[in-house]
Amino acid sequence: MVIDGGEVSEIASYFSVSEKTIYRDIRDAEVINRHAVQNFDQDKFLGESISFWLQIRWKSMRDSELAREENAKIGHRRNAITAQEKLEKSLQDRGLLNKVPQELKVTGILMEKAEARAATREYLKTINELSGKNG
Amino acid sequence: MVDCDPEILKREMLSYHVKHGFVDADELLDFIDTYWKLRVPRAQVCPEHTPPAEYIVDSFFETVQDSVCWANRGGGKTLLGALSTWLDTVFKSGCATKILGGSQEQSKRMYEHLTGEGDGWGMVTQDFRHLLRGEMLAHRTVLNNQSNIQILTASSKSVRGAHPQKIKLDEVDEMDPNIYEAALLVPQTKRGIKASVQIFSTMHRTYGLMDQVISEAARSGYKVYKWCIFDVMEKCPEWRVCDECELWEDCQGKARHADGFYSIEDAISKKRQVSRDTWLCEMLCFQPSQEGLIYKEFDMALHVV
Repeated sequence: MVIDGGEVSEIASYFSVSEKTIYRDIRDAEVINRHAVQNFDQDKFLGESISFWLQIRWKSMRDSELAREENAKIGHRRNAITAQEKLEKSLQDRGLLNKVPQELKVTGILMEKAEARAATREYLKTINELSGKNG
Repeated sequence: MVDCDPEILKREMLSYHVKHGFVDADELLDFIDTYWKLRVPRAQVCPEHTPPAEYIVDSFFETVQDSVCWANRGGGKTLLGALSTWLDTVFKSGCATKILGGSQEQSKRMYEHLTGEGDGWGMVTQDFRHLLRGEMLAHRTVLNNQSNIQILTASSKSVRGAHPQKIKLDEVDEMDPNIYEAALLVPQTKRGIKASVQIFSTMHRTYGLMDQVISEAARSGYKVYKWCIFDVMEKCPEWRVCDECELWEDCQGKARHADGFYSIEDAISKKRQVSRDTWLCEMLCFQPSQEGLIYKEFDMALHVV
């Protein structure tokens, strides 16, 4: 109720207890919450997550091998691919797998420099030539 | 893979030039080449004529206030008129231009050069769309920088009303002289942008309006930009032999130095199709054809007492 925005006096009145009791309960709740967070094992959670996606991938591939219908085979393989992508993304997000950039966008060129503008025009003209003239 | 996204680069460069303009003529012409794949002919081909690029540069940098472009058929008058209008509109805040065509068809062609519809080149490409305020309309285009373009057919009504800084008269030889006179009073200098009258036309009528405009150009303070088919012709390749060329009589090897867009094959074909008078008048910008007059050999100086 505190989290939902209730006033301490309102909560005390609702439960017919003193405000002091409410303050004590809030303090106890904070201690329990802190303890729960401190005991959370991130490594264990990550390990379980990796294990989960690996199992999904393995089972999906096995189901694909066992399936008789072509559509079912494709469906299971698609699940396996999705599991693989989720696993890779999860590892990349945590910095455990290096992500090589697929493209590098060059922006923020210093247009104040005449040389930069001339070089940009040359580049754009080359693109124009490669993409064909207007008419 | 290194990917310099051309669209992002174009946007950044356009944004720079909208704020800071252009340093010189080369930068402006190079920008035109880059954004519209349009190479405005710069080479001096005929010694007595002006390269079309000179008109674009003078118009943009306002070194010339009033001008007449006397050029051949297919010489890019309407296209260059649309280009100079669009450059003024994009890069000069609060610049208003009124374009009057000699006919409805002529006005439509100018509009098509802006939009890219029909045979139009398409000045308002995707790179410039974000500058528009609302949709482009056939008679009016407004930009976020308070600039606008009005394309109308020359009529007594269209020359009345607002006074923009620029007025462009396309194909004056088709215009009513009274409307032409009234149109000259339209432009007014405002917001630091000079008033100017720009006229574009072939001269195909003996004693027509264009004939009169050119005769009085010096007195009226117009700079005359004159270019013929050779000034806008593509560069003649080495493999073409001058002695066997049907254009040799008029070309005399000048096309070897050209850098324009007019196809040599088209020029040869046109020369075969039309009479010598029409060729000289409409393609080489010589004196107007006297075809159709009662006495072709009539000479005002000789036969009038």
